[in-house]
Amino acid sequence: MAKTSNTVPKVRKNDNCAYIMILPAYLVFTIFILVPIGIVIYYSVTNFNLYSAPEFVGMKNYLTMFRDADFLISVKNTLLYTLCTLFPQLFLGLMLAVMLYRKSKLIPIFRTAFYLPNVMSMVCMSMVWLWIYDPTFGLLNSVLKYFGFSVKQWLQDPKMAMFCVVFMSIWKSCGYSMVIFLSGLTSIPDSLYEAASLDGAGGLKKFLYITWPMLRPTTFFLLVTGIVNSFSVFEQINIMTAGGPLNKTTTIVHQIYRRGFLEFKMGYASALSVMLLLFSILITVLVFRFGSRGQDVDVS
Amino acid sequence: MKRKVALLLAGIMGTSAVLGMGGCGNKGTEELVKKKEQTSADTENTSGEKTKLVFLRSGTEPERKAYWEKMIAGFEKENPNIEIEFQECPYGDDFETKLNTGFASGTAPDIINFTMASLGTRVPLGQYAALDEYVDKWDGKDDFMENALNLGKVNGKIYGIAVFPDPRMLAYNKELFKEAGLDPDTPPATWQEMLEDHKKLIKKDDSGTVVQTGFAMPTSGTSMQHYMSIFIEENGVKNLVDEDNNEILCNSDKAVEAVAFMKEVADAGVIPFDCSNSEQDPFGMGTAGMGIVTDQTYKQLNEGALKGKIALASPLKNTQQATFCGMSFMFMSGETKHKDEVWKFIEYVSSPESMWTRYEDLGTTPIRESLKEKFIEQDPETNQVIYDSINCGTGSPKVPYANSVYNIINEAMEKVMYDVETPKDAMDTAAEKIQEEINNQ
Amino acid sequence: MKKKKVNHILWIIFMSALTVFMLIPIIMMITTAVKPIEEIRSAVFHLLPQNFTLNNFTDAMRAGTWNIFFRNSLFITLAAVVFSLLFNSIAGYAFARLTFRGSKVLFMFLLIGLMMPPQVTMLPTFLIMAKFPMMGGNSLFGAGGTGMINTYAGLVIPLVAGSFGVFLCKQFYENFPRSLDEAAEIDGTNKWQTYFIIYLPNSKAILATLGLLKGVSVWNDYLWPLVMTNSEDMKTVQLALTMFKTDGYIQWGQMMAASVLVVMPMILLFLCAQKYFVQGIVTSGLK
Repeated sequence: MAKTSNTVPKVRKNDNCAYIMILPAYLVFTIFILVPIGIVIYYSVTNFNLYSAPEFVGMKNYLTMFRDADFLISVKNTLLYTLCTLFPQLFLGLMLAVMLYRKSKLIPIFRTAFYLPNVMSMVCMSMVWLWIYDPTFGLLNSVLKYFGFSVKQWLQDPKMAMFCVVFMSIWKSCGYSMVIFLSGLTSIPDSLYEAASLDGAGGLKKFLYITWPMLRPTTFFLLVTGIVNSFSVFEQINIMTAGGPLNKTTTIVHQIYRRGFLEFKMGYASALSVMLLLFSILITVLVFRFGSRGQDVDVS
Repeated sequence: MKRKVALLLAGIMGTSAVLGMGGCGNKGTEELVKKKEQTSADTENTSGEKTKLVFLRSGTEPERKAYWEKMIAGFEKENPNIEIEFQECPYGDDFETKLNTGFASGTAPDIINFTMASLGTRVPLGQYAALDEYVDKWDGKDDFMENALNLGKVNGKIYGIAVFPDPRMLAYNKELFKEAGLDPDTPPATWQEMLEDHKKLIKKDDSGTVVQTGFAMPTSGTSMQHYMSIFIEENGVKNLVDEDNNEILCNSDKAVEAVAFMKEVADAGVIPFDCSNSEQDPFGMGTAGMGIVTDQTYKQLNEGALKGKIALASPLKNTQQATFCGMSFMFMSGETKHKDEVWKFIEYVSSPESMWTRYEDLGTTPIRESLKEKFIEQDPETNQVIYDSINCGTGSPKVPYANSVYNIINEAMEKVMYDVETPKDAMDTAAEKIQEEINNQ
Repeated sequence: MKKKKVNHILWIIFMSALTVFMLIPIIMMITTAVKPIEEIRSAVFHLLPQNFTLNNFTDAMRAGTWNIFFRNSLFITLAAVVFSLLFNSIAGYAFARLTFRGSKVLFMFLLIGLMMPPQVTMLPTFLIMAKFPMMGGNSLFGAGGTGMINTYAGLVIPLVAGSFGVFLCKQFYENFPRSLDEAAEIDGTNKWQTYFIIYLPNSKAILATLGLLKGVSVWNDYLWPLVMTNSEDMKTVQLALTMFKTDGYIQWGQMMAASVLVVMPMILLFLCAQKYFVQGIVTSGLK
């Protein structure tokens, strides 16, 4: 009965209490996210310097952007970071979750260990990783030396710096994907697996035909939030490389922060932010389009 | 559906932009109101009510906090009608952010302790008040170290009174000097000597990787400009940019020569390090024979892992003896309603007694002529160098676009160090970019 | 059966190796905390301390009023978690299960909140807090006082906003069997009752997950407390950690010791939350 109301939109009724249910969340969202975004949009067409009254400059900031070599590099770097971080992280998270979704006394220990990096503050962990990557005393080079390999410059090497940051980010966030996947796994009814076992399906088959399809909403969720999170990577970059060497690790938000708060070009920084927002929206819409085919989450 | 979403998006963006504008529009009128309040507050002041000042200092270390609390307690005792609220915020970018939000929202502190670089960026915005009317009447004016007083000036007006000098000095590791067969009591005095010692100190392992270097020359990072400033000033160049007439000096022949020398040092063999994380400095790790230190880091290294092994050398010389000297100042907010009280506190902090307490508690170099002898007596060898370095030190260019200059110079230096461009080309490109910033002002 | 046992042992070995690998940086952090200063800065790197010491812990804790910092952080985290769980899960339920005009657009809109990095909206949000009407001595039009700056409310309220939480709850509730709603409809319960009586008690897994994620992010938040707080009594633990960092020098031993202590509550939170991960709705609620 309830089902018919969902599948046949013609007789669709309106649950008015829903508006009240979303009100608290929406109110806070409007005041502290929507309005600030509006202010940022307004700043983006001014020459606001954080102090004097903003003056309207039209689209000047948006045009400057395309001649700003540093910004263009940062876009490239951000995309590279997103690609290299997101997929390995999702894959590892899924593998860990599947491997840990069983009964054993050791589970809590493993689960805690894999999630631990995510609990630590980024500031603290970035500093520890600076040690690991240190060319002279670093753990990594000590290990290489021990096995007779030649040492590397890691973060000081323009070709490698970004991948060093990427590796650290994967290390830090695969536990997060694992936890979300785990909570997704709990919502798969055991009866499905039992039925599959009766049909004689093995572990791999069960994964491919039950686990993976049932985890699609979770994967989708992780994909969307992961893309958006990677687009706004900042903290580890700021601490570990400050964008260098040779601007190989500067990212969009790093540029925004530097322009806005250190060079006092808040107008220009806001224009960069608006571009980032539009770009994120575009990607998200695309993901929604192609990633949610044949599912509840379809929005079109 | 697509169109609907697009329309809605546009609609919401529009409305939120309008909302946002409304929010900001208020600010203008508010400022007017505030200005009015300010004048009335000034007249009310005499009525004997307690005046409350907010003091924000940069840094969060407990030792300095204890010092400031001592100062505040002493000051409040002398001035029972003034109350000072102490605030602190970590160094660097965080502090900039804190000040930015404070000034943008009209909640900025009355007294600020911050770096010299902020003079260039914040004075043109009107965030710091000129102190000349007070300094002219101040008896400490003639006693104050002249260079320190001058460093606080922008366009001939005094905006900051120096508190913590931060001179960059050449330090060397006596033990490593001995090991390399060099005389541990004669550090290099000229570029040529430095380069020779540098080469002698380099040690490589079997695979050819440098494991010990002479001069700790950074190859990347956000304070490459400090290193460049040191070398160009030793070569007779005034600064990266001449703050008096906006003349760009970073690509002058002398400056390029200095950069080429830095590159020569690096090519001879260094352990690459990122100077944004001074923790990685090979000198501090004991794997470099020479390095650039501040008086604070020297003190810390000399009390820590490199105890008794290191010494300070006079600044190097190519055409003149000079160095880079940072400085932190006391500033008066341009928005404060209680100028007289703020000055009273700055005066109190700058008194000889407070300055000497600073030396005793924190090891900060006193910057008054009357304390010079007493200071040098404490440790003649080291303290003479420190005092001289402050006396001949030049700071960051105090120009509104200073933070852009640093950024551009750091990028250019990295290009030189990573063999992407020649010193000449890199500096010419940097000069072009700086010119663009000047034109944008 | 024998094969199963061998598999299990292989699994244990593999997982243990992986665990050690994942934990290396954290082990480094802990060992640094128990090393004396000379050893931390010595040229030869040892993973394990040669001379074990707890001085770093005592020195670090003596350097500030840590009981106040911990109290602040705990309070802020708790408040933000409780409110955001309540607000977000009920909104997530509405988006997942109720039909109402504009729901899809309203939901898409909410997602914009995910896309703005906090560094960008920080300044405007700060201005809103400073000018908040009728707070902290402000007039009706937000002038005069300091608004919600340096108050708990100012620290907590913006953190309650959670596009992320709503999205997560929506995705989770969409997986709930429809039969639950049908059963509720037959019983004649209204939507509020359905949520509070059927959905909420069965959401332990998602509430634990969301609570954990929110808790960790609020606990580790640095930028917002940095700009919002002014006084020593309002400082959070993350802000306090900067006291070991001077202009060009870091007191590694004390910093790492304090970091170890600071992360403890989060590890406890994780240990408490994780037992709910496997107690999902379907395994416990429907059988």
